Parts: sequence; C-alpha cells; structure tokens
Amino acid sequence: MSDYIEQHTYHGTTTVGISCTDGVVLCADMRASAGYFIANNNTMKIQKIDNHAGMTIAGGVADAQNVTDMLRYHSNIHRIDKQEYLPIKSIARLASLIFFQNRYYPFIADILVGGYDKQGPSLYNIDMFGSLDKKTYVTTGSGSPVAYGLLESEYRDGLTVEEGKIIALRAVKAAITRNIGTGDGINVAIIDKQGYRLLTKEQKKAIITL
Amino acid sequence: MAYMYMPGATAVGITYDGGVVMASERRIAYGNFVVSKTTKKTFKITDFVGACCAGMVADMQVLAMQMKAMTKIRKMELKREIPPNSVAKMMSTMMYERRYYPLMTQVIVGGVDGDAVIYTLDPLGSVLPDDYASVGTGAEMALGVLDQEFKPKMSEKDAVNLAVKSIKSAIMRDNASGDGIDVLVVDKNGTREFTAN
Repeated sequence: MSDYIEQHTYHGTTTVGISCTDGVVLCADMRASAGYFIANNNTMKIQKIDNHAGMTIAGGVADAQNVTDMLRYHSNIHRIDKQEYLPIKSIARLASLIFFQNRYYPFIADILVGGYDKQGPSLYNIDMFGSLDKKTYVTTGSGSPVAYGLLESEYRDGLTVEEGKIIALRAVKAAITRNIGTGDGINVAIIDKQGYRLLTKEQKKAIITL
Repeated sequence: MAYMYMPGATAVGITYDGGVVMASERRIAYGNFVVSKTTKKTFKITDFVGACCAGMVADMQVLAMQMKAMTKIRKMELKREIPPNSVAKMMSTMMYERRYYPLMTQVIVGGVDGDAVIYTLDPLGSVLPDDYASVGTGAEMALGVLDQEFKPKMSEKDAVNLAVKSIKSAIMRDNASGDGIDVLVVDKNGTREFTAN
C-alpha cells in the first residue's frame, strides 16, 4: 500500500524565500508530480496565511495543505480575538509544534513561513520533524541544491524586495532547468508593510523570461 | 495484499463553456481477470457537482455515497446549493481524516458555480484546481490527447467528444481500462448521464 501512496501522491518542488530589508520574497515553481508523472502543472505552492504572512509548501501536497489550513485558522482566530496580527515568530513556532507533535508519523512537508509584522520582515524554515530556523535566505524541495547554487553567490545583506525578487526568480528558474521535480512556471509573492501580494504574469515577465 | 483488489482505471474531467464533462471507462480487472464490464466510476454528488474516480472501487463508492449524504445535509442546513469547491474540500477532509489508513482512490470533482471548475484529489486528500485532468493507470495516455487538444471555452459537444476520445486512446494502450465509457455532463441545468462506446 505504501508504494501505491508513494506513486500516487503529489510531490516535488523548489521553493525560495529571501528576507530583505523592507519585506520578504517567497517564490516557488508550479509543478506537482507523482513519481515521474506530472500530475498538475498549475499548482499554487505559495499560500497566504493572513494579510501579513505567507508560506510556501514542499513535500506531500495533502500534508502541506493540512498544515496551511491549521496555520490559517489559528492566525485568523488570534487576529479576531486580540485585534492584532499573530506575529510571524508565533506562526512559525506554531508550525514547528504541529510538526513535532506528529514526530512519530510526520507530516511529509518542508515549509517556509515569511511575513511582515511589528518586528519588521522575517523568514523561517520549519522541517518535517519540527526544527525551526530563522533564515535570511533559504530554499527547500527537490530542486533546492540547484537553487542554493545560485543563492549562495548572489545573496548579500541589505537587499531590497525589488532586488530580492529577481534573485528568487533566477534561483527557481535554475532549479527548473536542472531538477526534474521542478517546472511549469513560477509564482512570486511579496509580503511587506503594504501586506501580501502575488506578482502578476506581466510583472514576472518584466523581470525574467519564463 | 489490498493490491489484489487494486484495479486500474482511466477517468477524465474537462471544463467547457458553461459546464464540465466527466468520463470514465467501465472495466474492473483483478490481475488478468475482468471481473466487471459495467462498473460506474462517475458519480453524481449533487445536482450541480459530479465526481469520477480511479483506484479501489469500494473506497470510491463509499466516498461518493458519504459525500452525497453530507452535501444533502449541508444543503438543508444552509438552504442553498453546495458549490464544487466546498464539495472538493469536504471530500479532502474525509480523505485526510484517514491519513494513516488512506482511501486508495484518486478523484476528480467537477461542477458549476457560475463558472465551471474541476479539482483533482490524491489518496491523501490534496486538492488542486485544474481546467482539465485525468487520473488512473491510463492517465498518461489520456493526457497525451488532452494536453494537445484541450482549448478553454469549448462547446459541450466538443468537450464530450474530447473526453471520449482521450479515454478511448487510454483503453487502446492500457490493459486495465476498457469495456465502454460512462459520461457525466454537469451544467447550470443539472446533470446528464449517458454511455458511449
């Protein structure tokens, strides 16, 4: 049964997150594969948690969507209860606790949580066992070795989101060409003090040829 | 062991201008033996939402039956039609509840809520929206046709023909698929079902 599940559940990804001086950039490809089969080529792997926070998903789509639902629920409940946004640090810690509670039968997912709150922009990586890491730049998924290759040489401190989004797009594009689990287009989201916004096709085309 | 009762299948879902077409072939084969030649793998869930499945037949039948009941109850609670995105999410929740002993079925949920939409669900309950999709052992073959010939905003007639054509090409190259095609059309006037060859 487990090999049936392995071959029929959706996997594969490259996601990139960059924390800049004025906001956070999240970037991901659009492919969902089941083994060698490309099951979906229009997958939204960047999810909005609330107006001030977003996340990317890599790993099993069902598990990651379930985690997304939980984070979204708790962020909304907190905002309504307390009349303020749930800090990014807390969202990330909550995600880490959710993963760790399932330590013995883990959610197969590796997520990035990023956003902009009173402390300014921040970005976290939470892995399937619940480790929580604050990052300035990070990439997850099957194409992450390729994306890191570009990020390690291009990332520098003091980037703005305008510069960061170019690097993020280039990193995912590199992963698309050298990783078969990655492909079918790129989504980019920027979260800064204006809130969460996804770049349109035209805005992306102005930066890079897809 | 459950593998013995794991027949193949081909099911497709296509959106067109004002509705969706869902189609599946009718074969169940356990190993090399054809057990049934008349199995329905398309399901009417509500008047405006349908589904088609591939995988273990018991699981898809139970899933469809429970969804039919749940949407009926939900419709009475809310006093309105249950849109396809809700049906997909309800189904996803049902499947994810069984994360550690999954329902071994892949599903395409489709319907109309103003626009025509379809969603694919994997055995664990991930939900991915699509314009057209295919699941099952014949999915690769069916998508070979769909990827080439699908156009947004087709007529109903063209969409039905494309669905049947894609399943036919899967039947030709997939031993686990065959024995005719069930078609379910959903539009703003409700559902229609018929069998093609």
